[in-house]
Amino acid sequence: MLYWIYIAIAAFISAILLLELWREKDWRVQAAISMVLIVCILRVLQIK
Amino acid sequence: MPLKKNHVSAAIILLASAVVSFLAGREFLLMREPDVFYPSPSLTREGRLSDYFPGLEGTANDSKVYFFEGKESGSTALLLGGTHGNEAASALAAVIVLENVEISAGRLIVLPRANESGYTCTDPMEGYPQFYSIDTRDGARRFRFGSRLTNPLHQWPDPLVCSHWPSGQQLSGFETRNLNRSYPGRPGGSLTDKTGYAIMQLIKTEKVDVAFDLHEAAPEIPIINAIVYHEKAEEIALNAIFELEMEGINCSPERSPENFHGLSHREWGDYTQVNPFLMETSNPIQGRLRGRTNAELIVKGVSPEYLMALESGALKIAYLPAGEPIERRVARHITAFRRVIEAYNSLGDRPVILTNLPEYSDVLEKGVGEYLARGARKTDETKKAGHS
Repeated sequence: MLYWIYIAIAAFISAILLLELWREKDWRVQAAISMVLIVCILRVLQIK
Repeated sequence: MPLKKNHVSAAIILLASAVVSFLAGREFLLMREPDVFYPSPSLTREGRLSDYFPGLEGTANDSKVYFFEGKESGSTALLLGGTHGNEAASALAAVIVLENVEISAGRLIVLPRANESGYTCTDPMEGYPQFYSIDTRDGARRFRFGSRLTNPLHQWPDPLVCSHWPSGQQLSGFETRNLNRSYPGRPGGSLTDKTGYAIMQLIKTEKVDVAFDLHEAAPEIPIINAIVYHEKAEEIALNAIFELEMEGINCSPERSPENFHGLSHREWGDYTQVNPFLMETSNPIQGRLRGRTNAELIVKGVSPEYLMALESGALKIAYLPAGEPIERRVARHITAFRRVIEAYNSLGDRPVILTNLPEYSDVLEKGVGEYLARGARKTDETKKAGHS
């Protein structure tokens, strides 16, 4: 159960980051968001 | 409808993120490919930890167990490497024993990757390399370098406080993923607890008489170049240390604290019939002063920062001016293992007789790779034959 909770939390944060990145006007902030997004994607995929 | 400017930049950045995720993910996944070992011809059978506790079947820690049985009956010895994935010499010493040992009496059981999960990641914030290579006569052979702890992907979340079962001793939460704080383990616990439990079951089921847990530690840790022993194995340990000192190999005796729980040298001895020993060597890559952190530091063990600390005299450290190369650390482990077995044999009438293991000076002169060569050659032959 905890396994799926972990993935659900990571997926939720990834979705919010994705939305923020899409709405953001400044490309430098978009780049900063993407760096966090990479980590979350690897977490959702259970790679790292 | 034309795309807004910020959406174009978002799409480009997302594409770049996908590429970076793919490349990084591929690197991380490489660590899940297990190291391949080539047991000596004396191998009689292979098993897995799940043979002793089926709850480990299908998990990352269902490690391979190798059995060597002599023609004459005798005692049973167990050798553990890789309890902590960032202690390279401990794992490598077990691999060298696995790939070279011959046995004429008794039994030897080798578990070269006690916490296999720890080899699928590295410790966060440490900048550790994922692999290191050892030069052999047949080319470089690569080994994984792992984490001290079970991979958090395999055991999550860490509690705020790690409460040891059954003593109730409390440690930092992350220690719940430390195999050498988990003994005697329990079948309904975490993956690390289950692994500790399986190893205890192995010791009981196979009626192991003498057992070794190989480790390394930072040069500034007080228990270095030492054999830690359970009080019931004191005579064996002191005899072995006497022999090591006579050979010029400094080694300090450390009696296992009776109230520090979860460690192999304490719980193996308290809960089973075995005589347990834990051995430590000095490994600069684990230390806080180490400086540049790369595969060369694992193998050569040369750290200018530790040399400065040594020369300053401000810190008591186990570091030699020429460094702490893996040859010396592995040689120390193998020699201490041999001397303890010899001391055990001298005190009993059911010996474990092991041969074809390198002497201390052999490893220092010829290098570690000399004793791994057959494995590398087999790998090349396998590739030529078209097998994966």
